[in-house]
Order: sequence, then C-alpha cells, then structure tokens
Amino acid sequence: MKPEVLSRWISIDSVKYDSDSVESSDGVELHVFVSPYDLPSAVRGRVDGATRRFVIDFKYLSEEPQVERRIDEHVSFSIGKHSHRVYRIEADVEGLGANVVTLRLVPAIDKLAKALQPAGTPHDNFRVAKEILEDSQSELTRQLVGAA
Amino acid sequence: MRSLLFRKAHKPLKLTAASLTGAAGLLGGVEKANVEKTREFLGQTTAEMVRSAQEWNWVLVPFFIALAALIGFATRWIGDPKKWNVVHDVLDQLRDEIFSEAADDVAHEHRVTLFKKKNFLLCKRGWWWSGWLVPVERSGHTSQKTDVYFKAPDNAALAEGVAGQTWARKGKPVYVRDLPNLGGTPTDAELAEYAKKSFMALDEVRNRRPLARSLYGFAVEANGQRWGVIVVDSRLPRLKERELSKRYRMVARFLGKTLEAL
Repeated sequence: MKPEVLSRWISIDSVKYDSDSVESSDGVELHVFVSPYDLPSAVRGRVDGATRRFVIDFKYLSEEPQVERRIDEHVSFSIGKHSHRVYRIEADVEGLGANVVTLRLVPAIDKLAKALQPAGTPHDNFRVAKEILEDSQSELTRQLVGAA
Repeated sequence: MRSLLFRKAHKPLKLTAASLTGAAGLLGGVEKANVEKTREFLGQTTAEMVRSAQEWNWVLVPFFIALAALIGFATRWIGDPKKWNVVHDVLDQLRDEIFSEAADDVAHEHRVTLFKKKNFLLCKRGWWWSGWLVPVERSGHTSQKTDVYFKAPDNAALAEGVAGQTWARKGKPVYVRDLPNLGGTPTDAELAEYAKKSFMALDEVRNRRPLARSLYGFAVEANGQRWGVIVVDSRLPRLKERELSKRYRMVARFLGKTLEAL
C-alpha cells in the first residue's frame, strides 16, 4: 500500500440533511430541527498506510476531546466525549474488502447507536453520518482505491 | 444581563487587584527590613512606616491577598468587556443577516439574545438549583436591560420558554410561530394562548406583554459542550427557519471560541 495520502475534504450541504419534525408538547405544536452542531460540514476518506486501515473523518462546527469505541474486530469509532458525535471511523480494509468498506460502515453505525443510546432516543448525528456515507460512497471509495 | 456598569468596572477592578497583590508583596518584603538602618538611610518617617508595617503584617498581608482574590473572582464573573463586545458584534451580525429584508424596522422588533445556562440562581421563582437560562448579551442597543430568565431542567415538561425547551431537547433547534399579537388590549384567551404556545407562565405573559410573534431557539456550544442558548424573536409571525440555521453556522465556530474564554 502507498504511504498515507491526505485526500481532500468533501463539503457537505448541511441543508440537505437538516430535517425537521413536528413534536407536540402539552398540546403545543413545536417544530424541532437537527442541531447545527450535529451536522458535519465536511467528510473525507484516507488510508493509513502504517495500520492498513481506512479512516473516515467528519468535520463539525465545534471540536471536543474524543474517546474510542470499538464495535467489532474490524471497525472502531472516535466519538465526542460530551456529544457522542461521530468524528472518525476506522475500518480494517483487508478484513472488510476495499470496494465495500463504506457499505459495511452504515450497519456499524447502527451497532454504535445501540451501544450508546437507550431505546427510543436516536441520535440525529448517527442518522446524518449514515446518510452522508451512503451519499458520498463513490467519492470515498475512489479515495480508498486510489490510495490502496 | 451584566450591565454596562459592571463592564466599565472591570479594568479598575483588575488594577485594584494587581495593586493589592503588589502591596502584599511589598509588605512581605519589609518584614525582614532593619528599622535602624532604614532610619539611617531613608529618614525617621520611612523608618516609622517600616516599623508599623512589620507590626501589622500578620493582618494586612492575608487581608490584601484575600481581597485581591475576591476582586479577581469578581472580574472573572464579569468577563473581559472586550470579549463581550465581540459577542455583541456577532449577535448584531447574526441579526442583520437573518433580518436583512427588514433592515428598516426598528432594532427591538427583531432580536437575537444569548442565554447562559446556570445550575444555580438566587431568584424568587422556583427552586434555586433547577437549572436556569439567564440572558447575558443581546443584539442592538435598545431593550438591553432585561430580568427575564427561564427554567431549564432536563425535563422538557418543566422547561420554560423556547429557551428552556431548546435546552431540554439537547440543543435541537425549536421553532414556534404564529403567536397571538398582544399589542393593544389582548383578551384573556389571547394571553392564555400566547402563554401556552411560548411555554411561559400566564402571569409572566400578562405582566410583560411580550410582542414577539415568532421564536427560534438553538443551543450554543463551547469546547464541545452546550454553553447556553440563542433565541431569535421577531414581531413577524413567521421566520425563514432554514435560513436561520445556515446563517448561524457562519458564526458558530467563532462564537464558540470566544465563549470558551469567558
């Protein structure tokens, strides 16, 4: 594998992922949106030549200390210590397969969500991260294959 | 909000704290001075001052240090006025961007207010430790004096105002629109509807007669943690809510970094 090459950031159109829902609180209709802090502004994929892992980074409005959560032997996440936002996903390329790695990450985020959240309280950021991975799959795979 | 008086006192207080610290250091230094040699080289008056200082050091030094520490606490509570001015400019910019089409309207008809989350508050209403959102800065130069504050517990059922509801929903933006117009002589039904839709107590609405007809709240983060809430209020019955989020994203990072230092 080639040495690590930093690929370019892919800008995210936050409006596309900012969905709103109507909630009712004591009979009052409220429009509730996704927090702007939970919407990534950019995403990129890169290959760490030393560890042979595919790394996907998400950029947000704010930064914070991160903690690592390993989901299984192939995938680990770096999530915000306070917010639990997904900042980074590291995947074992050889274990998962280079051309399908991004596809395998979407269910991995579901596993992370189950591990972190009590039932019935989905995290907007996880939904958005999954959608971004699906929408940016071809570009991220190109970055992976190009570096492999 | 921290009044202009407090912010003007910041610099004199800092200078006072520095002087007290210097005085404590000086008094500590004269503890070992030789009074006789002082009289020989600097005269009787200075020698008497040194002797008095040595006699009262045990009271004065700890007193000066304690007073300097107290003043230091006060200046940190007030916050650097220059940084607050920056926050004010950011809120002004946000207001101008959001309401660019209403540029000719008076400033207080469309406002952007920054609330800080405080866990404890000495107040007449409610429990002191239930969590509160207190206004600390507002756009424009009018309606700067306000004593409105909102309960902000984690339980949305007990949260007050759009500010409290935003906080209780983990910072998700909350939008309330088409509130009744309370200008003129509102009916009891209109007051009750306003109170219900805006999550305010009926007495508060009756006494204050808020004129905002739409409210939009979103959380502000600093260092990755929720710091407070910004509430946009307007006399327009509806806002362009997608625009709001987009405009806020342009200033959010800078605002968060500034608030980290306050």
